[in-house]
Amino acid sequence: MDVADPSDWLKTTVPKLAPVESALRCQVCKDFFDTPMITSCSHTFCSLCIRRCLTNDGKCPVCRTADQELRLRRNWTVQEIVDAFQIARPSLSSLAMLELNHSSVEKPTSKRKLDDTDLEEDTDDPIVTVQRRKTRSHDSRLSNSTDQATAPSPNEAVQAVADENHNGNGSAACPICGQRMKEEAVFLHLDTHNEPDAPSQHNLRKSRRAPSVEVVGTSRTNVKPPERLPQLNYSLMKDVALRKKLSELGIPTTGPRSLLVRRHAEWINIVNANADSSRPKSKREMLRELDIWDRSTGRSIASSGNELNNAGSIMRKDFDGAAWSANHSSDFQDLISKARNTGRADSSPRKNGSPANVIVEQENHESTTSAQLIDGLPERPASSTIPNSDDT
Amino acid sequence: MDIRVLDPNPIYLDQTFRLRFRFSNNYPIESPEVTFIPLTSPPRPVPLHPHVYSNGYICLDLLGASGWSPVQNVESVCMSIQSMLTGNVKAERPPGDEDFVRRNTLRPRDVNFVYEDATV
Ligand SMILES: [Zn+2]
Ligand SMILES: [Zn+2]
Ligand SMILES: [Zn+2]
Repeated sequence: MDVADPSDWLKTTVPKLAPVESALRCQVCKDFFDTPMITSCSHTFCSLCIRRCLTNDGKCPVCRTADQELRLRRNWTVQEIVDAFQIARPSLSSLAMLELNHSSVEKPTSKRKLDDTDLEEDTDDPIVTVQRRKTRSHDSRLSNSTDQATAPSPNEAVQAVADENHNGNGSAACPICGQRMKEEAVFLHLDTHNEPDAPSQHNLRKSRRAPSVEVVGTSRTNVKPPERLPQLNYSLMKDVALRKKLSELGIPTTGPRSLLVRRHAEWINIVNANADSSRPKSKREMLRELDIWDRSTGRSIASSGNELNNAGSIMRKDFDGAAWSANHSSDFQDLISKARNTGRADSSPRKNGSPANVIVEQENHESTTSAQLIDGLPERPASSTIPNSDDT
Repeated sequence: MDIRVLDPNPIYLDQTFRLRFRFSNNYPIESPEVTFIPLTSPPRPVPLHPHVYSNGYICLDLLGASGWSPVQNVESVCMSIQSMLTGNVKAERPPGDEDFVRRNTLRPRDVNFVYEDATV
């Protein structure tokens, strides 16, 4: 669903929106911020992303300043901007594409200037209306503390101005349905596509984030405070105590100690990130997330000896055989999400003007990527580690 | 992914190198494993560099657990490797290369760690 990429804008008449969109995305997961949190060094990341980073090395991923999870603060404003932008994105991008069609047909020379002015007016309109709609539903969802946020101004004036700018001559095709019409008509006509779209996308997004407010974490308190979990000092805990802890929390207790530790840490991150969220998920959904983690990262931890505890190779073999082959099919999902991640990660350099000196030969690139995906999946036998041998 | 040094560094003139990226499930929290892959056709040698072993292992801070940051990505890794090659003036392997290549059974990340500890 979210294969959208900031570089999409580079192909439109408003390439300057690319950095705008980049700024609305988390630098760790490259996706739009989900429950953005600001660090003490004033960098912003998704709650879960920054919590995982801090769990891993206690440093801000951008500036490497040491930080602690307790010092993270919500960044509501960023969340609102991201939500509004995502809702506005489809209309924005069809407008930007529309402009592209126009200018290629006519006035290619004056294009640049016109776009810049257009940008201001055009974007005003969809963003404002959409944001208002959004704010309203947001309110009803939470409390009604932000009533005045529903600003007036349906912006007929802006609309009119924008129309004037399009007042070229000749006809243009609607970029969505292809119907040809007078240029200024297209602009209005576009709305007939966008209007039903925006709300439904909106709902989709919301529902993905679980509207059920009743079952929040383990606490049954009707509305808010989802429970937060404290961190544990694992070094002081015996295996038995650790297992007991996991079972109290209702999460799986299987696997070597190293896995138990990491699973517990991941669970804390999921739960606490969820507590940060304005749209908390049910415990069931969080458990599903943990399960996904268990099948991907968790499995590699179990199979490769690891940093926290050199549980060694005996454990590794046992675990591999059983868990790995049993759940092999469920890897499919991991593979997909992984493909998306890596695809995103290494497609960006290609698109955003790759560094002057690096040449990417695409066919090779593609094939290597799929090869990586396969051999990079959860784990490889510990013996096949030397690249020369397993690669040619 | 193939990379080439475009600067007129005589050591790498007209050569193209193949890099392999392997991503763990924990990427980008964890660094990817990046190595040079020697191929015969098309010709893809392992570049001569005092931080590149003949088996393709790269000793680069960025790729180790301590130098990696989750905001790094394929592009930034490529740029680092690129500048590592561009700035190089010694057409030679790291000390103890042969020995290392013969004996090593560790994954690149673990190796880097040890190597950095010992020399830097
Ligand atoms: Zn993120
Ligand atoms: Zn920072
Ligand atoms: Zn306030």
